[in-house]
Formats: sequence, C-alpha cells, structure tokens
Amino acid sequence: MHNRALQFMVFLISVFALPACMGITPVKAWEKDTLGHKHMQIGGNPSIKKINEHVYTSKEASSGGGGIGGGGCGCN
Amino acid sequence: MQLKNNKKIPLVVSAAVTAIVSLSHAENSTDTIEINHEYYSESDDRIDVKYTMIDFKKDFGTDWSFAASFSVDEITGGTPIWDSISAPSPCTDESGNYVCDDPEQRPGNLIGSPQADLSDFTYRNIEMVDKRYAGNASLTYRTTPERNEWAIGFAYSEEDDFKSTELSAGYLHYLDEMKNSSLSFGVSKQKNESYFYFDEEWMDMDITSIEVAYTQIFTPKTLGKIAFFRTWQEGALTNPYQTVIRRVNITEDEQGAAPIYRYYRAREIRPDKKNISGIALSLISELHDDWKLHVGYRLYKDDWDILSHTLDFKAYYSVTENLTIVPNIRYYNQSRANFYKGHKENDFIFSEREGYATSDERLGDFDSLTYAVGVEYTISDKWDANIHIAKQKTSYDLKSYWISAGVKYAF
Repeated sequence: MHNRALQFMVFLISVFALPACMGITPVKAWEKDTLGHKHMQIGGNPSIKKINEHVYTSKEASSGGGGIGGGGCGCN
Repeated sequence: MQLKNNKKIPLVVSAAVTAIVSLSHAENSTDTIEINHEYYSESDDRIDVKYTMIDFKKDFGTDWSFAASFSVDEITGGTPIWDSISAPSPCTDESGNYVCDDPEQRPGNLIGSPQADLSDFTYRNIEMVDKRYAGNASLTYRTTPERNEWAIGFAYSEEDDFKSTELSAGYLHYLDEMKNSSLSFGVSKQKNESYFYFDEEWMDMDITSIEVAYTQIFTPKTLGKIAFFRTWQEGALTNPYQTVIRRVNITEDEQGAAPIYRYYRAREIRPDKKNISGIALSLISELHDDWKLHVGYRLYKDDWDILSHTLDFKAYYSVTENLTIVPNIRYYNQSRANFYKGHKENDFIFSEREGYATSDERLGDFDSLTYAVGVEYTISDKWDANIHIAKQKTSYDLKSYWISAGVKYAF
C-alpha cells in the first residue's frame, strides 16, 4: 500500500516537473491577463473553498496542504 | 457543545480549518466584503449545520492588505457513539454532573455497569447542539520593488467545550524577475483547550504546522503549485465524547481467582501525539477561452498509520460573460488508524482496560465521493453572487449534502 502510494507520488511529481525539465519559456507580464483571472486562482473561490473545507476537515482524518492559518476547531 | 435541554452528551463537532494567510501570485486590489451562508445535512438523522461567514478585504495602497473573517456555525442533530440501552447517555443529571458511576472506583476509562453480554450496547445517535464563533485576521505587506510578501495572521474560535487561539506567519519570495516562480513558507502555532466532561477539566492540545510551497507559471495559461506540509499535534487528542466497548477480566486483581469477563462501555483513548506529513499538488490551466480546469492531489500520512489520497477536479465554464458554471468532483480515500475498530466489524471489542482504542468512523478506512456544482454570476461591476450545491457519499453509508449561497460587494 505504502509502496504504491510512493510510486503514485513520484509519478505525479514527475508529471508536474516535466515542463520544467523541458525548459519553460518565461511568461512576460503582459501575457498574464488569463493568469490574473479570478477563476485561475489556486484553490478556486476562497469562500467556497472555506465552506468545503469546513465539511471535509470535520468528516475526515486528514487535513493540510491548503495553506497555513485560519484557526482551529473541536472537529476531531 | 451541549445536549439539548442542557445535558452534556457525547458527540463530535464540526468547524473549519482553512487558510487565511493565503499568498498568491495574483494581486487583486479591489476591496471587498462578502457574506456566505451554508446549510449542511446528513442522512440517518445525523448532523445539520447552519454556517454563516462574513469576509472583509481591504488594501492600503499597493503594499499593504488587510483581511478579516467572522463566522458562526450552529450544529444540531445526532452523532453516533456506543451507548447503553439500559442506562443511555449522557449519564448526567439535570445539572450536567456525571452520575453513572463513582470516578474514584471506576477502573481506567470504563463507564457504567459491567454487562455479561453485549445485548445492552447499541451504536446509535446521541442528540446534540453546538454553536461555534470564529474570527481571524491577517495583514500582508509587499516589498518594493521585488513584491515579495510578508503576512501575519491571528485566529480565535470558541465553543462550549473547545477554545482555539492561533498565530501564523508567511513569506512569499519570487525567484525570478518575471515573477513566474516563487517559494512560500508558512508556519502556525495553535493553542487549543478541550473540556473533558468526564474529568470535569479543560485539557490542552497544541498544533504546530509548517508548509513550504513552490509555484510555477508554465505558460500564459497554465500554472502549478507543489506544497509540502508537516504538522505536529500534542496533548489531549482524545475525543471527550467518543466511546468504545471493552471486555475486561474483573478478577484480574485478585490473585488466583478464575477469570470472569464483563463488557463495559469505555471512553475512547487516542495517543497524545500525532505527527503528520503530506504533499499537495495543484495544476490550473485554461483549456479554452471558456474552460478553466483545476486538478488537485493531496497525499497525507501520519504516525497513527492513516494514509490518505485526495483527488479533486474542478472546471469553470463561462456560459456568458457574467455567468459561470463550476462542476466539481472529489475522491477521497483513507486507511484506518492502528487503534480503530469499527462498530460494524466482527471484532469491534477492545480487550484491555487501557490502551488506545476508538470506534470513531472518521479514523476508520473509508472512501468518499463528492459531486458539486456551482453557479457564479456577476451582477454588476460591484456585485457578484454564487450558489453551490454538493452531495457526498461515503463507503460507510453516510450521505450528506450542502448548499451555500453568497454575495460579494466590491468598493
């Protein structure tokens, strides 16, 4: 189980890192119009993210990876 | 948290641990105030939650940003624990005092009277009510001319039986002049207090978290982020309300006596430390002018032997310039804690008086699938509105749905 997870993680990191290894053409400031769009923000709509995390963190043993801070709860 | 009619009762509460110190590549300079309301409901007469959240964001020039959030959640319904049929929980009198047994004479964490068989035990919902108030604030400063970001945050929340205070700090450093890649660091320290009604005292639980993330813009339409996180929890991690069934030799203290086994309800016991590590990946790409795709994966591991995978796919489809549909699917899978025995399993009985033990389903092995769809509508330059509906099913047959609606005003 753990080996499979490790392999899966290495695979994902490889996929993620592939563009970097191939060389990335720097994106100029005037080319970032799309990247600045509110629907291109990591995590999506912050309020909806909070609402969903509100559910997930109280129903699952896992949490983390979505940023630091925000406070605690008597969830688990 | 408390029982209806002011009786204290076993249960679990919900609330959020979300990020307020959120450092990003995009600097949206508009000041905003936003209100969202969520209604959450579970099957089998379990938990209902009403959650209202107000967010405020204000920029001071181009270098300083302030954000604050305040929320209230009201929880009602039932949460399942092992209970006694003949002496049902909460084993409290009208004043809230525990009356099932004399704590001085009770061995270990055992509750109530011994039973010769299991017929007196049932895994059922216990009614509860709870209300939680939470607030947090953060301040972000951007350096000139590099535009690196420093952030500090403070959070506080309070329930009848839980208090939490947190300080956090973050730093984002751009790695190139074009600001196409960055490293961010975050750290937080949380001081929590839980009220253990059985012991009638508040107990401490501390959480320290760190996160290191690398963000890379690949193309004018694609960016990604990889984050490594670690968390250390220490203190009273046991849930004060959860129970298990134990089989105890009641003559073991009597030398030479023949063993006599009896069954007891008992408080669950969790280790007082948990070390967590994980990795989270995000990839966002505009596939077409009207389609933006978000893919996320998180690997979580802790030293209670819980290993989890979370896969999340979300798309933003622009139907018109003002109307966006947001379909979302999320798959979650986790393994069990090494001291978990589920109530549906053949072997659900813990055989020692002491030792780690839980039957809390959230520490068991399960998977869940969540389907969601949102509608976001831009009413005008200043007003935005959204509605989201989500439905989740877990492999232990819990079904839930939640619906939220919100409006945002920019000024």
